[in-house]
Amino acid sequence: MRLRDFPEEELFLQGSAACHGCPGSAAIRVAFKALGRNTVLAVIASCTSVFQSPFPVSALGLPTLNMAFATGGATASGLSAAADRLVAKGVLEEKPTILVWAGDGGTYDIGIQALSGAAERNTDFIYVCYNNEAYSNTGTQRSGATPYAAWTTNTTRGKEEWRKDVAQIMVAHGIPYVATASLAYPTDMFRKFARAKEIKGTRYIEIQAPCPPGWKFPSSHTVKVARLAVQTGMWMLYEHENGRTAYTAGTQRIIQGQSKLLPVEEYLQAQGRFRHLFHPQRDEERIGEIQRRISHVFETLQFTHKMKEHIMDIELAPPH
Amino acid sequence: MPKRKKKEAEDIGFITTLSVPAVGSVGMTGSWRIFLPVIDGERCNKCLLCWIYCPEACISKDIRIDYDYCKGCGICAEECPRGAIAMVKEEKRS
Ligand code: SF4
Ligand code: SF4
Ligand code: SF4
Repeated sequence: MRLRDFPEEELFLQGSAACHGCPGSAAIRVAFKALGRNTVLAVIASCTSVFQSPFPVSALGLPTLNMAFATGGATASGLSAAADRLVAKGVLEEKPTILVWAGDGGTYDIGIQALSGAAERNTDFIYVCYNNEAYSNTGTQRSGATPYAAWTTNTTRGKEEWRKDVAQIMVAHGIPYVATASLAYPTDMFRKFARAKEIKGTRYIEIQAPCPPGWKFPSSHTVKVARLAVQTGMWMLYEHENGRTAYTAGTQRIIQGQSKLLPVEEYLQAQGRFRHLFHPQRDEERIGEIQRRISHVFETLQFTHKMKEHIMDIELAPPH
Repeated sequence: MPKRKKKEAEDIGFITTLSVPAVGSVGMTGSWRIFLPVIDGERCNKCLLCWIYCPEACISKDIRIDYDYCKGCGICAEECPRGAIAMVKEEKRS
């Protein structure tokens, strides 16, 4: 899908309450374009609950249910069952896509139980986590998605723990589709939403959402930071379907050797939340530890890729 | 629904906290702007990147900016591969 083939219709309306350069609204635009009008949305407590603007108007052009933090999976289960019933009774011609839109707080920490339950039942819905790696809505507190060494209001010298990986937890549930996406690669993101829409069962898409006020970078750099995350390997793009993981877009290019893995410093230095790693003096230990982990992952993937190509060569070679 | 509840609901009418989709749900957000994006039509090759990256849906597909709602975040100018968008300080605008 090329940009010029994206639908022109905007289901996210201008003049919302989102901050300058908000990644949440940018991601919603692409998601809504890919899913279209026949979608029912459940927004889980997050920045999106706020930036859709106060009652009695809303910037979201889809039927929307605003729900509490812990309820993503449960809400979807109810909506999906209701929609099935309405289709069976002939009230609806076609089942709408049930879309849950939650932040990392409502996914990684507070909502994981209901999400896991719904995934285990293979409930028919798409769950989206737009991951801004903190509780940005309430002024940037750490979440389970906050990366190691990042500043938040309650990790003032940098978070001591490593983030968990909910996309991989969802892969472990054995659901039909799991994908990660980045704001900097809109055609990749669009394709993943369009693919998810075609599938029945639980689908999980996680979008990294660099947040200017929370991560402390200028509002014009939202897309740039998202791109650097992929180029440095801090965020990986893939989709998992039928037991196979396929890396996509920028991540695939690094693995296949078409582009270089940039040093992670370029990503860290672009954001104020990692400033303490460089000022007043460089924290070699923590920067080195982050780089070592990324390099290890990519070296393994690059090696596997080369081996696969090599095996293909052997298979394709004519027998002697 | 139990009979009594149904009667009550009918008497009261349909009451719910239902919001209606609207452009400008928090007003004319163009007033948030400090810098204004200005497109140089000569340089623009209609690649549509600014259209899709704008978090506010303020650039139309024929690459025109809606200044009533553009918040002046600067993403369009930063991402334009042709350098066709300049951010101009608001009061300097002619
Ligand atoms: S805090 Fe971040 S994610 Fe939340 S509305 Fe502002 S820019 Fe968007
Ligand atoms: S990003 Fe630049 S070149 Fe592309 S459509 Fe926008 S103004 Fe034109
Ligand atoms: S400055 Fe920001 S809000 Fe205004 S048109 Fe550019 S990207 Fe959109």
